[in-house]
Amino acid sequence: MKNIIKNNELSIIITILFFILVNNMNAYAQHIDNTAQQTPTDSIKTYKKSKKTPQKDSTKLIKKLIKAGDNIFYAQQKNYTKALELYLEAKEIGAHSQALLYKIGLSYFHLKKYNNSLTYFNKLLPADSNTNKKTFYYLGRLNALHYHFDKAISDFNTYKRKLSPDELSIQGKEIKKRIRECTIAKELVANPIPVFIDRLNSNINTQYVEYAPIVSFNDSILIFTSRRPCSSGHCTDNNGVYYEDVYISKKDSTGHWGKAKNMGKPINTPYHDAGAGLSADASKLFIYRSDNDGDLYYSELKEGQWTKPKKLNANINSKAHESTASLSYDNMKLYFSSNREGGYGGQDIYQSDIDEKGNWGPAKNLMGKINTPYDEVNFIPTPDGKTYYFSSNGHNSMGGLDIFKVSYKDSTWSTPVNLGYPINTPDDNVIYSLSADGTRAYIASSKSDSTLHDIYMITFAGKVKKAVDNIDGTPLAIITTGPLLPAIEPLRNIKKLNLTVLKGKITDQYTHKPVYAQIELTDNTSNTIVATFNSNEKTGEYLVSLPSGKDYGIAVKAEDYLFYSDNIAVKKASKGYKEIIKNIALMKIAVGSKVVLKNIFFATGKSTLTKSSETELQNLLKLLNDIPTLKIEVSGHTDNVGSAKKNQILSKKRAQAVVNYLIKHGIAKNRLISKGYGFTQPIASNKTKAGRQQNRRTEFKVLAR
Amino acid sequence: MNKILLFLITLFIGGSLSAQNNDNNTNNNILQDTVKVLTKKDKQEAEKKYNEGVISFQSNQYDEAIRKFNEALKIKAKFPEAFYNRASAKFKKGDFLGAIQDYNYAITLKPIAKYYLARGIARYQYKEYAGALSDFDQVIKKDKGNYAAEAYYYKGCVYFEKKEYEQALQEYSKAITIDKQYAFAYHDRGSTYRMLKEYQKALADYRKAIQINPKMAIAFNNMGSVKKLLKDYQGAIIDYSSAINLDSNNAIAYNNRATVYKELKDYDKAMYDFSKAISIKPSYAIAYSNRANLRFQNKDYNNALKDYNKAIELDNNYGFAFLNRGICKEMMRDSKGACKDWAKANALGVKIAADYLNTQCK
Repeated sequence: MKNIIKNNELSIIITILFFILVNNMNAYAQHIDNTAQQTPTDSIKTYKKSKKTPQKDSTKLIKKLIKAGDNIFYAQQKNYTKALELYLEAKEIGAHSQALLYKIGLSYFHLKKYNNSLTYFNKLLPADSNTNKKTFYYLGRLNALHYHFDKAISDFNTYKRKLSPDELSIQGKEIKKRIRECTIAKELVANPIPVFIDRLNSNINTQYVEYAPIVSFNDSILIFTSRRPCSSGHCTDNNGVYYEDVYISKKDSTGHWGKAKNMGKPINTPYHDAGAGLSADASKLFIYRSDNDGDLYYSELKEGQWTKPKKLNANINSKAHESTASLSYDNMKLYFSSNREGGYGGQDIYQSDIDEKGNWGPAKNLMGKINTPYDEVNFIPTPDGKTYYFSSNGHNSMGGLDIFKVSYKDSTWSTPVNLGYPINTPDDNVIYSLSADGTRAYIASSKSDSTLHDIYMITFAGKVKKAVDNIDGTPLAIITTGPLLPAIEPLRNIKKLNLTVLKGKITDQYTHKPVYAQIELTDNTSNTIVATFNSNEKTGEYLVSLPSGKDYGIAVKAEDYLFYSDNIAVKKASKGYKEIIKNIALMKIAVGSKVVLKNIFFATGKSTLTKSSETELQNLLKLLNDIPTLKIEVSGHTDNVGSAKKNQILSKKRAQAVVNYLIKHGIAKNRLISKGYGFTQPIASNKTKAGRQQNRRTEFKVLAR
Repeated sequence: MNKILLFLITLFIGGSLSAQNNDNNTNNNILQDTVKVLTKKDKQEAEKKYNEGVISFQSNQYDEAIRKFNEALKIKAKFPEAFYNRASAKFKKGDFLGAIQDYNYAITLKPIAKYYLARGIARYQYKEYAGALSDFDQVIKKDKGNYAAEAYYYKGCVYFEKKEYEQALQEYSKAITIDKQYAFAYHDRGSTYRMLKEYQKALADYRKAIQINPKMAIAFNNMGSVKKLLKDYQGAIIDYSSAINLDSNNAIAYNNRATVYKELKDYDKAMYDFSKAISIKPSYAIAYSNRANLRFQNKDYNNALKDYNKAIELDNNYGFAFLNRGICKEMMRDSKGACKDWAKANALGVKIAADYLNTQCK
């Protein structure tokens, strides 16, 4: 019986029991059941009791222990458990030879205690040149079983290099296969298929070993093999382990497996009985018994009772080893495995068809698409009649027996496909049955080297799926910045509004009281009145905003006051806003009052009135017309540039020009006097340009009213 | 006081208060009846509003800019610059249709290359590709310089979007012929080569773009992604790292680098980078889905599911997140939930999901 392994990726370690291949049924007990206690030899007991044993005695004892171990280790009927105990005792006392460590490692290996085995083989390294070269072979096997596939490949290659040509010709093929398995395993482990593995509940699994689970197609009946104490008390074999019996459990209405029962007589005998296969409807049971090197038996459920198992006919059972059996869905074909002569080598799958009389006909080898020189077992049909599963350590195995899927179409078998990891592992993997929908299978497995097998359910999660990682980024650069529009159109040039505010207060010259006056603004360039407005009656204040860059004439008139005029040049303001304060004091019309006519202009050096003077002249005219009794003197004044005489003449002429204008506009001659004062009455210093300009002026003075 | 006066003057300038009215007004308001406004009503009112619009635009106040341009256009209808700028403001706000209409007016008044280029870009954004191409052709007819280079570039982008990669290559190349330092054109041509699976040429163009503009993080990122495709994982990490060095908040580069670390089985670094991407951009659905995949791979199904849920919460149309969550749910034994997610992924165009649906969700 073969049993299996671990899967270091999964939380549980799957070990699948495959119970029919090995010739000796008792081998199972030796390999798996570590509950079987071996009695230490008396010599060891004695040795342990005497603590102060001389060195000589211990050497002697070691030799004795090792020899005893070797006798079992190298015997035809090997018992690695016993040999290992002896070797370990020897080691405890002090033995440490490479040969002993090698045999301990190898014993563990055969007992499938792979962790311990690897530890011991690793102790043999770094190997000196005398290291048993087979060490590398086992290291290869063990590293593969521990999923260290690269190390394993390296070990196998080392081993291969150490082989002589003759050895290589014999073992080369196997080594090549082992290396290939590692390569396949690497690929499969890197791409696990999604499965769920659930341990069946305590109605099935107990403290004892359970394995070889077979399930009806509708997943309602579970038959398995277990080694449990029996009521008679005589149920252990030569090795002191319980005999195998077949157990059955049914699913209850809630979908849970019910308490498993020993199938009892006639299925179970006082010896080893193991389930080997079940028909789809769970009414036909195949049983494996170890007689005749392993033969298949058949029992049927009739009227609620299992018939006494009958050995299958000679078409099925041969002198060789027959093991697993299964029926096609229609019960017309029997598939079984046998290592009989004439096959491809190892266990092969055979098919037998039922004949007219209801007997199983001659066995036919399923041939080369299925069978290989290695082992093929556990051929399982599915309800579709096309898809089959089987286990093989040929084909593309990742190590040991792997489960493969194959389909039969147009009389041809497809190439078997490895079901992949973690259903398959580097050790043996076998399934006995699948649920009809192919989504569930049952296996036996142990969590570690040192625990017993239990029954687990595998649920296939469908095909391999890979979550997709998404890398990110935008293919077009423009998306990162956003589309780059051409620049917007720029600011437009706005001509600056050069605003000047002219403001001030109009008051009486003597009383300083506010005067309500009319203010008239003239654009001196165009000689047009641009605004006429009044000062505030109560405060005498006024304010006007003016476009700058021009010369303005301002004339202020108020009743009983002499009009006031001035000339204001509003320069183009560099800033947007400029303020000019012009406070004006008006003089009451009284004899002797004098006003400078600031907006009377003459051509340079001449006495010709310019057009700009028109508004001012009109104001003067109006004053004279308003007050018909008014008599005035118009006087001309100059600066001190030039001779006094010349200036006197010019000033006189200019005063006369004003008088002439007034006469021309209807003012009586006798109300007007013109005088030329030259530069004799300056009102400002002649030393400055501004002063000189002030002195160049026309005045009028009230002579009578 | 001065301020008040100035304010009033300003009011009057803009208002309709006439000098004459004021003259006759002798009421008690001191200010009103003494203020005389001689400045004439300004003839550049439209330009002024326009200028205010430009200033608002320049300070990214597009709504305000649009208002100002509206006012300018109310005063002066034949004002192409105002239409053009208003269009650009609408574009900035994502109102491409509004932008296109305004560009139409601008072009009617002033059919210049610049305006055609802008309208072409707006049409490109509006996915009105035929119109965009015709505008770009107008640009190329009217201009031989930079506007033409840009027009070729955008033609390349249009063809790229239309998945007409061969044509896109030609346009990008023409843009490069005019402007040999056109980093974007090199970059996008690289991406076009990538779509055509000409990876070496793609890398060469990305490199050229970087040579012209060594701060072009996107080019590093895309170069990294091509190297990842070529399984040059170390190279990819170097490029993504360069993108991160240029911009320490480059969530995309962190996300991508993490996927490479994952390929290299450097899961700690992958986890760090995914988480970093998420911390930079908490709305980063892709990084959530990817981190979930890593957690899923580590069999940390509960936390993986949380990340998938977050990715989907952030982007309800993220097909791969549904696909991946379905796979996670399957492994959490929730086959109904898995099928539901795959159905959604399938509806969102993730092809492989159909396969899962057909084989497992009957």
